[in-house]
Amino acid sequence: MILNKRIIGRLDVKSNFLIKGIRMEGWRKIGEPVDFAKKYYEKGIDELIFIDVVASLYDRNNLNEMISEIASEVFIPLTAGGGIKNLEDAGKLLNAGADKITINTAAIKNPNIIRDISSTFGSQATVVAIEAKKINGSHKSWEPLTDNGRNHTGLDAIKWANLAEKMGAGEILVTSIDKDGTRLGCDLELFKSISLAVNIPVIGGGGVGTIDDSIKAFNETDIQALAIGSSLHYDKIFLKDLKKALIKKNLNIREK
Amino acid sequence: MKVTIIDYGIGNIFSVCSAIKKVGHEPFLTKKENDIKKSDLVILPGVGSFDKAAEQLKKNSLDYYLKDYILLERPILGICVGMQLMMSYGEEGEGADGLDLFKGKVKKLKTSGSKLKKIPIPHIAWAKIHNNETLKERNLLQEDDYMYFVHSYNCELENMSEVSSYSFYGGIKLTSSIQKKNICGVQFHPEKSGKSGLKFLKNYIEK
Repeated sequence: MILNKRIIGRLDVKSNFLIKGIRMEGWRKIGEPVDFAKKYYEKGIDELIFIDVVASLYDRNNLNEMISEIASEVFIPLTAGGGIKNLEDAGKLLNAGADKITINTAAIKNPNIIRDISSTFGSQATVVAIEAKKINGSHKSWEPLTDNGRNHTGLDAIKWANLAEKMGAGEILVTSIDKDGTRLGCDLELFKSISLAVNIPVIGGGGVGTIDDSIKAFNETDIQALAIGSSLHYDKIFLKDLKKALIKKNLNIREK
Repeated sequence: MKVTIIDYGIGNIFSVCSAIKKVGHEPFLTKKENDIKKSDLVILPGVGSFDKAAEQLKKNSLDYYLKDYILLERPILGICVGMQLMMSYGEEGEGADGLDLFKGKVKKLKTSGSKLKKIPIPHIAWAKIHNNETLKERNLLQEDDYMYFVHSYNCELENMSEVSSYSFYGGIKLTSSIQKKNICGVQFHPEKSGKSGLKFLKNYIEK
């Protein structure tokens, strides 16, 4: 008996462009987020996550409008975030058509915001994003960074995941900064540690380069879902092939 | 067809409206008694906590309006917490009474019966639909279709023949949909379940 798993498309956006970096640096423009969202929906993606990577620097209205446009055509769960500072920001995104919001920087600055969002909109709408960087010389400890990998926190990612769950998060999105955008395989130790530490679903992300990387992530760790960006955007992995391969490995995955 | 969606400040109404438009019908948002009385089909959406949703329902006298509407024997569809509100009682949060259209309680998903060491809650997953084959009424759901679930509580009905379909999570059987005459509830989100979900909505509206 195995739990059902999900494949999630991760779209980093900056002022109406889909962008992608490597280890959260050197961002490149790829195309229109709406087009990619529709394409992935047609091909059978289970869910989509949108992160506005420069939200704190600009007006956020862009993302709200984009989410509305996508939610009118794409009928699967949509998570959106980047720069959410308070209940009002979260409410606007949910009203625009997002099903869940994801929060990182503001939650680290003040964990009570997780409780506020969760008690107002429900834990099912509250995803805490952890952008984790391996601590030098260690294999089993990671530091959560804020502001898209720009700022250090001095915290421990596993302890932070525990606190986020306690404060009311319904899901954790953990991304390995060391692997993000590299397509060199996932940080399986990170996925293992975080999914062992909490009792809510964990979405793992960062580093998926091949179908085999995805199989390993599901077979060797307890993550519930895998977030893929680069490999999908650059056609390194096709959803149809990926899902077929996962089903062949006896993983419970929705075919399409 | 005009589809009335109960707008009581609970839930992602945007997506329900978009989905209804997508399948060729016209969503109409309201919480007014007269509008509800005149409706041909009502959808009761809902996300978040049962007790809060029940409170909002009562605050707007919607419990009375909906019961009056149901007496007219026209169709009503509850989605997620909207379905849970159709039950007698929900234990989430402070606990609250529901509309009592179906006898039974909404209880925290049991995970103790599973062989797995750990089952995360909430249940967030696409799960297959299994129809209750003893049900005489025509099933609107396609056997083995995947639908999107996100919930921590499960409807436990006293009368199992009102369970029109079920699904599994880590080996635990949960109620996917309930049906009694024109009253129907679905635990999953048809408006978020891709093409299978849209097909269900279309069938339900046009049946």
